[in-house]
Amino acid sequence: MDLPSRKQLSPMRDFIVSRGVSGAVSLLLVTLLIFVGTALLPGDTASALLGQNATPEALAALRRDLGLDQPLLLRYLGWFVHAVRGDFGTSLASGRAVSEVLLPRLGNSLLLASVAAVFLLPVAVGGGIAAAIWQDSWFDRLLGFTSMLFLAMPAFLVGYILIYVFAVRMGWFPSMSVAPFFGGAVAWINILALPVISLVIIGQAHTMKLTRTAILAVLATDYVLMAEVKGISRRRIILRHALPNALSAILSISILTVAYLIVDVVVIEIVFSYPGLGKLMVDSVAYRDLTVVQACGLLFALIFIGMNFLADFLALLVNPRQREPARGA
Amino acid sequence: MDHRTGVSRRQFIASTAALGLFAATAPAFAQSAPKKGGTLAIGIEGASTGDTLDPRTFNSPYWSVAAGTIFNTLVEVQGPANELKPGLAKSWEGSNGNKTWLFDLVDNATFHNGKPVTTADVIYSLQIHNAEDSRSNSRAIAAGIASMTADGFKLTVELTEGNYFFPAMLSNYPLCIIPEGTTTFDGVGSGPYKIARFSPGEVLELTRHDGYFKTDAAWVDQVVILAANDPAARASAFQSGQIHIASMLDTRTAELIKTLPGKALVTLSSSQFVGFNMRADMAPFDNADLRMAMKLAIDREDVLKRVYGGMGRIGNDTPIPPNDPLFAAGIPQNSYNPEKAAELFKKSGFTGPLQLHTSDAATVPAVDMAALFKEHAAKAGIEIEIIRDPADGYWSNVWAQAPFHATVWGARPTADMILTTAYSSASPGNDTHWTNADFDAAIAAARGAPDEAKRLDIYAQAQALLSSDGGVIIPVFGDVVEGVATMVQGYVPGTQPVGNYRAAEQVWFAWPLKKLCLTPEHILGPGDFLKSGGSHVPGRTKGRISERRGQGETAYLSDLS
Repeated sequence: MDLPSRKQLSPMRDFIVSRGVSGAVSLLLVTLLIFVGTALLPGDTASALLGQNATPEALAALRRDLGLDQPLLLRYLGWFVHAVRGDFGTSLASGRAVSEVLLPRLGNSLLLASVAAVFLLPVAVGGGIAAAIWQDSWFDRLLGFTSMLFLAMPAFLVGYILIYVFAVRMGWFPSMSVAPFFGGAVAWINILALPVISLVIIGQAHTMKLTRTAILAVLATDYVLMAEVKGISRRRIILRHALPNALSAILSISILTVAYLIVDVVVIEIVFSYPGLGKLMVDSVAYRDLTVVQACGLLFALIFIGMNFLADFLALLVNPRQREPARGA
Repeated sequence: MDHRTGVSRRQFIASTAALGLFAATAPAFAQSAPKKGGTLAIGIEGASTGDTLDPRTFNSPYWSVAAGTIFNTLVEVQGPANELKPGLAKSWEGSNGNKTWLFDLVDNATFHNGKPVTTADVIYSLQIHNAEDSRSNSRAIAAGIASMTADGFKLTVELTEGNYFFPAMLSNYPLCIIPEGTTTFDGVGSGPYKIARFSPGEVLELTRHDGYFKTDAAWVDQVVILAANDPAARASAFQSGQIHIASMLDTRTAELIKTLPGKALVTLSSSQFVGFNMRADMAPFDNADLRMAMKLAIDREDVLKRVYGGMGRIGNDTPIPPNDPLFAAGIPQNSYNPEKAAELFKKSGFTGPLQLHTSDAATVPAVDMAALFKEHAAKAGIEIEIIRDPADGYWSNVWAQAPFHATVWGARPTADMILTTAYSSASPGNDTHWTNADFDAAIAAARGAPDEAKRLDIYAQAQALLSSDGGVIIPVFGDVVEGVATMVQGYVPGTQPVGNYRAAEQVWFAWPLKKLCLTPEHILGPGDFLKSGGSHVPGRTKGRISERRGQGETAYLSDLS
């Protein structure tokens, strides 16, 4: 207790260091898995590029050019050494720098995710809180039913239904969300509409359920029972007592939702042909474009690990009790 | 319909054209006077994030259309009968047994960067395809050039051997003309539209090239070519009015599209085909009786009806479809005959099931067709076991290797090209490994033959050999189905997608133009377009273009020379 300030900080520091190390190890494993996984698929970049035009000589020449004649381990090490220095190489299929291919797509993915989050989070978190306040009411049941319905529905089905209704029947929005033709910012609204609506519909269920559960968990604690015994209204209990305590959980849920919106939207990107990272990765797998797939995978892993870290870190900050070292251990 | 009896080929083409093509699509081609303006959106498959603007890498429907919008070839092909039209060459003439070709180039064409198009550019553009590191699908064409000499705007090409089809081959889309010395391929061409934005695997946005040498072409202001690799996405984008031309739609959705107001269906008599290869160089298909048994064990009418929704033409196990001018109508047609097939199967001495490899890689019809083939062959007592391989790696691991497998060949500009590439003994593309000296000699002789009747005769012999002895089963040539919005005028359907790649420079809009999306274009009734009257007559739509002097012979731009 002679150095209280340092003592108090050390759990924080321990947390950051341990999460940093485990995050780095995860990233390493992810890159290895992607490399081996892509190599295990039948065919390679050369055969995918040449297709039916592949003669043995053309294949051999292209493989030599692309460095595919090297052993897998050597190729991985070569990639790793460059990647550590921030050089992700060039796309095997197009010869362009990976960063040049990746960055515009990352921008598109972040745009879609953030617009979706702006609509999704208030709806889902608000809905979850409301459902907890009016637990077991018709409102709660209806919300529970619809969110389960959308949770159970495959993402592509939601996308296709929206396309059918809003693009094909009504003609309000384009069915393919490719960057607007010769268009400016206003055109982007048009383009983003259907993917964003799909993401809100698909993503809200999970977030709403978790928010509701987090609040109900707090409501089951002794101090809330005490408050109820004292005759405080349910609304006041939730807003003044339960919500602040559930805040760290809701924050985590929200951040993970955003991570989900960036990383897990491959299906939606494909359905709407949206030029995001997920679609890039799928297209690149088709061409065995290992450098691009690898960079996409790394970026996805980085975003997910980073968001998880951020969620846990913020949870610590918001909740003072969790900052203390475990007592009695 | 049996088109071999009593109906001449010409009549047949005319009747199919009238029934199949123009009857269904006439409302779409009610013409208004050409008018400038608007943005044309085209959706087609075959784009990838790995795409580049190097013409030697162009090898997909998407890039054929992109090339036809950005670039020019020396010779162009138009219409259902593959009529040769002038491109950058306004006329051409073969001599010396078709070994020497003289091309007369237009003298007023300019590249997007303002430089004039010269013979030096043409020589460079053709030569790069045969460069050491070239993986061009037109490499064999460039390799057949012995030398090129220029004199002003006249270009003389010496070939290594006589080839009557050389001008037609030059219409192949990768053989587009780029400025001499181009090493960083940035898409500068001489075509009607220049690139405003290129996002590989997403979209190509183009604006009109003001110095375009064709004076009454390139009506729309801007062109957008959308990477729409998924047929469902393509169909819904077309339905919703996001794109005006959607090519290579699923034939099974054709009926639906037909019923949509403001949309028209175009069927192209493509020579693309899906077939089954029997490797003639190894057991069990090194037995000619077994090969013929299999050819008689597939019900071609049923395949046409159930796989292609009736939209296509019956094949005779040669890559030449009945609508091709070189089609040999006089040779026996292989058709479904379970008894005869059973008899030949027994005679071959082979017993047991035959394993047929198929895959989505060889297109969806290949998978459906294999399932039908199994049914049909069972009636002849032949057991087929279907092995469905993953699309990934199919071309390198299964195609041309398994004894019995599905194949697909895209349309080639001339019948000679597909015969040479896929069936001549020495070709690396000989995926049935069928070798026949008589066949090889026939196609080599036909190329040099100066006389059309003689040429037809030689090709008939070659087709007879392939049909009776060859290793490929080609039951049907499926039509390529395209959707074209009726507001699009002047569209000339050919045998290749999107107006033989060049719809962008052909079409104009029926004004007043309805906005894309937000104002659904399909609210307009088809009657709005019918009022202007007139109907589409092949070869007349662009009356300016040429006087045709027989298939493949000199044609020229009368108003440009």
